Amino acid sequence: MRRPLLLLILAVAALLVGCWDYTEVETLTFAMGAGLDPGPEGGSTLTVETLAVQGGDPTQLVPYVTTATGITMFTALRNMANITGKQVFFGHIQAMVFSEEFARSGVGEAVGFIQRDVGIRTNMWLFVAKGSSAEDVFKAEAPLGTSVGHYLGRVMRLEDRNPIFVPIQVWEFNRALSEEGVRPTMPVIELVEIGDTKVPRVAGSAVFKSDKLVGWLDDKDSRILHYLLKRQITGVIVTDLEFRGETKPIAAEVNTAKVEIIPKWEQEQLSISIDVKMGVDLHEIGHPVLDYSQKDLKRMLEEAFARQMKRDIEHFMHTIQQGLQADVVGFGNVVKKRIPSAWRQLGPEWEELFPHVPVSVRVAVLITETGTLAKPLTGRP
Amino acid sequence: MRPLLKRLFGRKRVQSETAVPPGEPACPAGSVKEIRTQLQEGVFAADDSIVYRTFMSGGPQPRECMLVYPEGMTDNTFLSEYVVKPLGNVSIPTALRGRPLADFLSNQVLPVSAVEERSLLSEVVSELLTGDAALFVDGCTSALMIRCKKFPLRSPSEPQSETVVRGPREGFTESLPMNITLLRRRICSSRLKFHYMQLGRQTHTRIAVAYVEGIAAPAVVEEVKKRISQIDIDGILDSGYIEELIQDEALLPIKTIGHTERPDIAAARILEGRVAVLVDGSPVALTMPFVFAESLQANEDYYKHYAIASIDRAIRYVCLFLSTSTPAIYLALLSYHPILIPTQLAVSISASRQGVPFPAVVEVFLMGLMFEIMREGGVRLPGQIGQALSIVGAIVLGDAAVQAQIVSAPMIIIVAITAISGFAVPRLYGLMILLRVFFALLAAVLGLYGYFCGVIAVTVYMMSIRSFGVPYMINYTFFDPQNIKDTAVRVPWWVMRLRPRLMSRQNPQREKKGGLA
Repeated sequence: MRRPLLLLILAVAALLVGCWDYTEVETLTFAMGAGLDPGPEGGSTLTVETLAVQGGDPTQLVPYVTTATGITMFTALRNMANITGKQVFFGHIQAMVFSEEFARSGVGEAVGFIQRDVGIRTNMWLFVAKGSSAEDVFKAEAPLGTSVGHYLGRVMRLEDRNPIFVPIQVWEFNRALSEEGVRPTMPVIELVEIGDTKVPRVAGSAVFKSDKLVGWLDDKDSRILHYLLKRQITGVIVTDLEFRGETKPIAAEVNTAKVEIIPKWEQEQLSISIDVKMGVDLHEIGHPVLDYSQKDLKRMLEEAFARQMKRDIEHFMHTIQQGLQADVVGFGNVVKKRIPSAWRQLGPEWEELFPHVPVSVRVAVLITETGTLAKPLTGRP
Repeated sequence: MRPLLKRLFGRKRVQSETAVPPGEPACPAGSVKEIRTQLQEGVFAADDSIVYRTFMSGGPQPRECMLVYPEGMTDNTFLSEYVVKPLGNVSIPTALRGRPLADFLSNQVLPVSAVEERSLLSEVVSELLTGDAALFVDGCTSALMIRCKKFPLRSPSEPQSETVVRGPREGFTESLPMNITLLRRRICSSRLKFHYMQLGRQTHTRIAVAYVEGIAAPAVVEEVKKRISQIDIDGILDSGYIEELIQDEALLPIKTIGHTERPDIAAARILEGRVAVLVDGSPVALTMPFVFAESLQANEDYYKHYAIASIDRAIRYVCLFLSTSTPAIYLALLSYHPILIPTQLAVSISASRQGVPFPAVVEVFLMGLMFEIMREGGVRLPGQIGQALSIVGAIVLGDAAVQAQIVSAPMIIIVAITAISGFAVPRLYGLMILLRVFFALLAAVLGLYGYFCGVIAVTVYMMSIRSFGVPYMINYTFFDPQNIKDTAVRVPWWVMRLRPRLMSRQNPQREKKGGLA
């Protein structure tokens, strides 16, 4: 008696779960990127970049861009199947691009759809196209690669090399949307002309309030945003150094860094201090005569870098506090976690309070390595 | 399941003919002539292969003697030199002062090392048929069996099925005495016991159950003897008969009895407390109990450096996984979870499948079948034709099928991985084919979920079975250094101080402490 019952339970358990979504892989077309533009009559225009197989030996994969319109993203998606004749498979999609116009009217619905749909991964990268439609972005040339979507994904993985944008994936964006005291951003794509082809370039950030685009951060500010958001400084820092009446750029690569955001709650008054400590490798010195193994010189260089960093951070704080009035770093969130009692007072009015919070910046730079093997070359006069 | 099958296919047991019907007359009562007619018209009627050689003994009162032997199985020179010649020269006295004639002959006349007296005709006949010669002398009340077997035998050579790079090259042969020799030479201990049994109503095949007293569990030895003695069958032509008749879980091709053609493997297993069964006429010895871990061991593991052996063993585990699971995982990923394949790979597989007429499921089974056909077709082929087969296989299946877009290129890779890794674990080959199909079917209808259900089901089943009372998966049940020592890795000999548990609980120590370590 017990055994048949056990078998029955096992059979039921085995048969009542699982996805019965059998598809032949060749009936799918793999979407690499998708774009959303405002469509006619208040709808959306969906652009999807897929890979098409071109015959020959070996077979080649070429990007194929197609658009479809619909009242919502989902209807546009279904309409697309009629155009491609294949099911568009979003499992491997790399990038989702919103045009500026679309982003200004709100991306919440689209991002929410991506988040909830079973067939779409939530780890695709999000972008805003500035100065062009999303469709144009995918019709542009992807340098050194098969498709724009794939190219964008590749660029995002190189963020640490040159952090002039802050990559964000669907799930991160959604979390930022629903979290208190932080505003989401997306990297910005602009089309730049190289020769006679247009190439998408990712730089800068688009700032959102709620799910609507409200403004832009340029490359420099985006770099600081990246530092503050990731609490980490990577890449190259550059400053100008005046020496013997000449001003030349010097560059260093950051190898250790510590960025701290410390909120203070004193006498019902909130202030925030940003502490930055960096260890850098000196790489380029414009002045050929500098022998930077000298102690004084080292201190001079360190101070120059620190000054520059402090100036940049202050510039950034000015932009987001006075200009955009959007807490993209999530200072409010830090306050909420560190000083919950203060947040209970500040939270409801954070939007109005944030522009007026005093922020102090402290930067300490230490040149730990010279990063070069020999003294600078000096040309014989 | 087993009782059901038995009820379906089993026959009612027939009372076997007993070798000696009670009340049979004691044999050679009469004269040689009578005996000859008795034999020629009785048991050996219509059989021309029995030789009857009659001759007279020497002396003033010659007696009629007769040698009976099966043609081609005896040493004729030996017979004429040491039986016919001395008898022809001796004069047999009429009065033997109370001594039986047989005694006189075997003790004083015949310079033969092995001679035995038999007084029952049936005994004479059955021994005659194994290659002994029977000597009848007028006036003697019994027959003398002269052991002078000589028939063509293969000398021990390296078994084709279990070759090694390093290790002994000897293999068992079809002769039971020679196989016993091969084992005895390796274990020169008085505690190595051979228990003879005879099976087969017609074949009277000799069987030896070998074990080391004091190491092998007596219960297992008894169980083996009991199971063998219950066999009632016409003939045993190979140890495979016995294997199938006495093993646990005979329904599925899960081996619960080991087999080997190598005396070194058999000796090693006997020393670990297992029981070996040697069958006359078969070069394959059976060893039992057999646990799953043994399937992934090779004798060479113990002859080479332990680290290298461990790597080899790890590779075998990987191969076991690859051979059983590659088609299933490929199918599941391709048809249900393309999201899990790396983007580049997914796109290129999709590209290579463009224009292929069959769905992936059909392709997997088609190519799997083609490979098994090639394997089966090639197994018994002579070497020269085998080459042709491999060329046809490689060109037609490997290249042309892809060129003609009948199958996709990744499928060929899958089949190749499956096949090659299958050969790395030859002891599990049959089981792996079955599991491969089972997993692939589940993956085809339920995706990865189905595959994992299958793996769990098979694991649970294997965990539940036993071989001669020893749990089949004994080494895998829980994490324990003792379990790992000789399964996932092969630790150095100076660490394997204890014999495998449950095989030899009564005498677990394999090595004395000290020594190298």
